[in-house]
Amino acid sequence: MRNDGEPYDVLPRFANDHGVLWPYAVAYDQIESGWVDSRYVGALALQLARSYKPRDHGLAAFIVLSCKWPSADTTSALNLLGLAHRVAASSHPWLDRLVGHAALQCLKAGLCDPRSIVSEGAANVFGGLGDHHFSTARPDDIDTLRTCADQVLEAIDQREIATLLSERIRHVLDGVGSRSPSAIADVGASSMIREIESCWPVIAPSKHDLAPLAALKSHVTALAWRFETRGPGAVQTIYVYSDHAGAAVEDGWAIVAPWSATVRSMLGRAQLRRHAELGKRKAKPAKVQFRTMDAMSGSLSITMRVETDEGLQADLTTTLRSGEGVIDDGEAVGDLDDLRDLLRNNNLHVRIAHVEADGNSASIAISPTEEPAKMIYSSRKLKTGEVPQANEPDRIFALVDCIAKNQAVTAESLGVVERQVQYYKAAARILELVTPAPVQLTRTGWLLHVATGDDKYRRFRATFESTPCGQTWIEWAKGTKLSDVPLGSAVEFLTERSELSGDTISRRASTLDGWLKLLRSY
Amino acid sequence: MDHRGRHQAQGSDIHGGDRSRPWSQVDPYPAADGHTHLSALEAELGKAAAKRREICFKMAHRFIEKAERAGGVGPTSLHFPAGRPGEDTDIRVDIEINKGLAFI
Repeated sequence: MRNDGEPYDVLPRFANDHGVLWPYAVAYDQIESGWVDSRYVGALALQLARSYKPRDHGLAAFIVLSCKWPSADTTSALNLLGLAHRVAASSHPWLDRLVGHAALQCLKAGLCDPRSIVSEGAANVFGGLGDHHFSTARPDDIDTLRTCADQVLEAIDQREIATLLSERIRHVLDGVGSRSPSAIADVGASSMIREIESCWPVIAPSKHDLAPLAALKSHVTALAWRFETRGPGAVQTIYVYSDHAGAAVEDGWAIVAPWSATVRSMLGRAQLRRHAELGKRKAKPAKVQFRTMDAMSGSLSITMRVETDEGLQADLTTTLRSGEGVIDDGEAVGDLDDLRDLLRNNNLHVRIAHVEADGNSASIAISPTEEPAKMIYSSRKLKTGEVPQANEPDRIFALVDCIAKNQAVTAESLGVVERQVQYYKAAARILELVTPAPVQLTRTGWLLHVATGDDKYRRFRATFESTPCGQTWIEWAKGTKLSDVPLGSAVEFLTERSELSGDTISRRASTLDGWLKLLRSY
Repeated sequence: MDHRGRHQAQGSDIHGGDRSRPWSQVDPYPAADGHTHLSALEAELGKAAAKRREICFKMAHRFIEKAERAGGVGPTSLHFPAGRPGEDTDIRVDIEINKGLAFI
């Protein structure tokens, strides 16, 4: 990679071609040179900030933010500060502590940098930091940052700018307050490592993968093959998605046949082996039925019931873990080859989600839009205008009622302050309850207006599920309905799947988490 | 083209969510052009939207001045938000340098 051209040109292409673990490959390459070319530090920081996924990239951010400060490379210094701002909380507190600590050290270096373009950039970043940045900050760390920031602000000759930056920084530090940080050394490293190990990567087909089953089985045994014992049958959900926007819905359906054949042949052989061990003469392959239960409109999420008995399920788990006999089995390899080739030729990835016995049927999304269903949401980020900021659904109901009755939508009629009216109007447009100018109710809006009681909230839930935001969130959570989305996950979701940043994420997340908590029971 | 990027005004008060002024050229992007296009972007916005972003544009112009004194800046992404603490807003101005050198 070091000889392939300009780092800022090479890295985006590399990231695009090498799956979610690409930053670790870059770090591996740079270690050998001792990170001698600071442009790689800057390019890595910029590319990470552009496509940051806390769970997958937290360790990479920790590595690059810990690099030697680029005192002669302004662009790289700015990009490190950009990454320090961008890193967001994940569901792994220990990973967050590592990353937060590195981000604050980076901030300190930026504030103390003699180049005013860098130090003022650091002051700008400082005002947008969140609580997760300060989880390991001690009081004297905070004092040092405050002192460095004050010196930078004093030197800014445009007082209006200095005042705004100062207010933001003070607000951030007031929020940190007198919290007692947890030192990393206070808790055993083993619990930290266990937590970080739970960041499972996505399987991507590789040209160098000589044992397709081996590539699949670690992921499959970790996530998919947890059969329950409550009753016969199990439910598999397969998510097929692409990093490229051109993927077609048909590509996902094409996965079903080779996947079904693969599982069927594995289960059949597992039973044959079991019967042979038990001395049964007339053993024959188990009857394995795949029955499609549900599919989410516009995505490549396919839910199927696999009907077989518990013994076979255990056999399959054992078979997959050991890999014995399956790789060499002509028929099984043939099925896997088909699957592997299909994935590779179409730039598709497969994530086999949880398996649970007798899962409830997922609700099929009601889509009021004429937008064609296409698998775009996992390959692009949500825009600002697609994420609502309207904490109280009842105000949206009031807005819909006003329009239905031909009444003006005002702060008084919604029961909000004036500046919030535009946010509720925007939310109604996002939910496609109303048309853009001239503002009128859509069919969905009318359905919401006439519904009463619990039905109103059920329709609201279905409407939200069918929006780009709702669908992306469900897909991100590897679910098939809103109630599959974990409570409190909106910050992590928006960090990974939207163009939002800074305080905007927390504000919008407040809306999404509130809606989720209210609507999941409907 | 070897040098490209864009100036962008973002926020839900702008129809469509954003307005931008890209550049794409063979030679490094001069600071003077950066100031001109940034001002043109501001003029493109409605009066109210421009007023809300007054401080953002000041910060962005300041960045361009500093970048010029530093000899230009390579690929990076800067955000200049308007919000004061406690304010509920997504209003900001961004400068993205995607390739090459800018503000020489």
